[in-house]
Amino acid sequence: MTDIRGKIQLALDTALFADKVFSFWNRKVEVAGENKDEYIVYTLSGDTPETFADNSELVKVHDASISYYYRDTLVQTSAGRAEVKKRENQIIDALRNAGFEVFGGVSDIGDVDNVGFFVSLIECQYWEVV
Amino acid sequence: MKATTPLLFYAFESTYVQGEGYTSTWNKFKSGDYEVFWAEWKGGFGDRAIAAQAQGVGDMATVKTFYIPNLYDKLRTKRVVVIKNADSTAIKDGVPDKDNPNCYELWGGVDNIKEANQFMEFRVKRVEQI
Repeated sequence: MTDIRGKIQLALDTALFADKVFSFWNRKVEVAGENKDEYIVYTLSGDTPETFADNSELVKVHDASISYYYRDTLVQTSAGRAEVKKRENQIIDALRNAGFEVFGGVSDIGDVDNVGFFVSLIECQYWEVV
Repeated sequence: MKATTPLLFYAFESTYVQGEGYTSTWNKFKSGDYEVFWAEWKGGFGDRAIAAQAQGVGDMATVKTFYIPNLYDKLRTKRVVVIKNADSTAIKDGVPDKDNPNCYELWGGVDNIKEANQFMEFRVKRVEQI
C-alpha cells in the first residue's frame, strides 16, 4: 500500500520548503530555521475500500486533512491576505501534482487552537488501485 | 555559592529535512570544550516542598550556578533536562531515563540573578514523564 503520509510530506516540502514553510504530521514542533508565521499540520483520516471484485478490494480511498496555519496579523493588510491566498493555492497545486483530489477547496475554520494563528483547512483524497 | 554538584544539560531540539519532516533528539549542551557544569544544589523542604507537593511534584530542588549565556538561552527557550552528579547512565538510548534518580527537568523559569550576568538560579523536578 502507498505510504500516504510520506507522499503528503514530500509533496508539501517540494512546494514549500524553499519558503521555510514546514509540514508536520499530527503535531507541530519548534524547528530551527522555520518560517515563524506559517506552518502546516496534516492528519490522515481513513483508508476506505471503495470497490470490490472476487471478494477482494480493487480500489481504496485515502483521506487526509491539511491544516495551513498562518499568523492572524497577516490578514490585517492587503498584501498579507494576498500572501495567504497565494499559499493556499500553492498547497492545492502541490497536492494535485502529487495525485491527490482536492474536492472541497479551502475552508476558513478560524483560530481553532486559540494560538494567534488562523487555519485554512484543505481536505483531500488519494485514490489507489490496490 | 558552594558549587559542588556536577551537572549535565540536555536540550530537546528538532531539525527538519526536506521530504522527511522533522527529527527530534536530546542534545548534550556544550560550551566550548566543557560539558560538565558545577552548581549549588539545594533540595526542597518546608513550605517549598509542600507547595510543590500540592502541584504533584514530589522531588524538587533549587539550583544556583554560574551564568552561561548560551545555557541561559536554552533554559528559556527549550525543554531541558538536568542530570545531577553528571550521571552518564541518566540518558538511555538517547532519551532521559525517567527511572533514574539523577534525571531532572527545568521547572518554572530561570533567573539571571539581579540581571548581573554572573549567576543564575532555577528550580528542577524529577523527570517523571518523557
